[in-house]
Amino acid sequence: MSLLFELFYSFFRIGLFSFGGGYAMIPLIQSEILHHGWLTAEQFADIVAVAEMTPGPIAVNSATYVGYMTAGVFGSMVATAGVTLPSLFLILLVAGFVSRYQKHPLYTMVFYGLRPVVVGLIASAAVFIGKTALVHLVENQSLRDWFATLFRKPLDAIQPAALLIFAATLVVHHKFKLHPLILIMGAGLAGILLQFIF
Amino acid sequence: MQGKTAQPIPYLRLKLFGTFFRIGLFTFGGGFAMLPLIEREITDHKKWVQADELIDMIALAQSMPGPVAVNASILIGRHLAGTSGAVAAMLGCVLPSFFVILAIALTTANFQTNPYVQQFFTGVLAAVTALILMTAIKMARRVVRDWITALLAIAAVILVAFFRVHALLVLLGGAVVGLGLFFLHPALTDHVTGRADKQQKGPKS
Repeated sequence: MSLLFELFYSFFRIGLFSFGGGYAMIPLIQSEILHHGWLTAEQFADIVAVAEMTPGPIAVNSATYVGYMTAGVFGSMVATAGVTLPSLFLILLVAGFVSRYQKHPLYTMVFYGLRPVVVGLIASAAVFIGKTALVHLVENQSLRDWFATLFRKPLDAIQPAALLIFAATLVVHHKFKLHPLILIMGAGLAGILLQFIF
Repeated sequence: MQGKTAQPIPYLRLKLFGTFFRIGLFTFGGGFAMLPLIEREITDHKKWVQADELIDMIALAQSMPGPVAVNASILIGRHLAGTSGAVAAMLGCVLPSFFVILAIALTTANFQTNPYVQQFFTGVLAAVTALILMTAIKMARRVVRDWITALLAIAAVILVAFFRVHALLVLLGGAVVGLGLFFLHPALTDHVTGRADKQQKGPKS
């Protein structure tokens, strides 16, 4: 019982205090889990790798995984509820407040400043994912070193199959307006097929 | 932000759950990977949320604690069908990853080291990069209207992608700039406010 409560409380705190979503949440999740001794550092690295290959937010993925590993199916339910409930409560609280002032010029101007930043954050997410998906970056490699490799041995600096799929997705999405789901699944299959060429 | 739709609420809740379940099932590569899917399903296809409203919701989802994808689903659900809609959308968003992780934990198969799985995800993540980039460009076209907004967008990319500044700090900066302009630049405020009014009247007529 106390373990279930501990799980809920711990992931509730993660949900409440981690801002920025996704990878910005990892340090807090990691310190909570290691502090309780629920997983070893290697196990946690594993779950981060698994989270990259499974759908959904990494916070939810790790909550489900840690909950199951420590207290079975019931533990996974409790931990997942813990990590998502702060979002639900806070947003229901704040959204009502925000919508009341939607017509106020102050609101308009704050969002005038926020919107372009959000666009920048979305573009940054593309940069972050592209950095692991499209190019070969050695751990802690500087941008200059990477360019040096690009000119000396271009195939060591990029992932040709991934770049091809990246370019193809841009073109197909632009020309044919296919549903993103079809593009994502098609890209996955292309990834398997292209290894026979590259 | 309360919804205005002709559909009966119970049916709408079910549709919200189903739509977010489908989106949640294919959100590989973190919360932002959800945006191209949300844009397609919620804004373009079902027209549940206008493109400008969606950007505001993402701004709010980013500024609140918790996973951005979960926050966005709660905001959209609430917008369409109140509190019960928020719960329906959130469950739809969370349950796919819950079940998938549970299935993986139960089988304890090391599927992430399987070479076919790895190649599959090489392709998936390459496509996700392209899709997120397209979403950013599409949204930039709506949002970047003058040199201030252009500067803010470029500064955000440089600070976050290259200098690893925390997303929350950059958002705070954007809000402060907006706030400062409200107090220091009334002419611009009038201009922007007028434009917002026109946009809200536009699509309803």
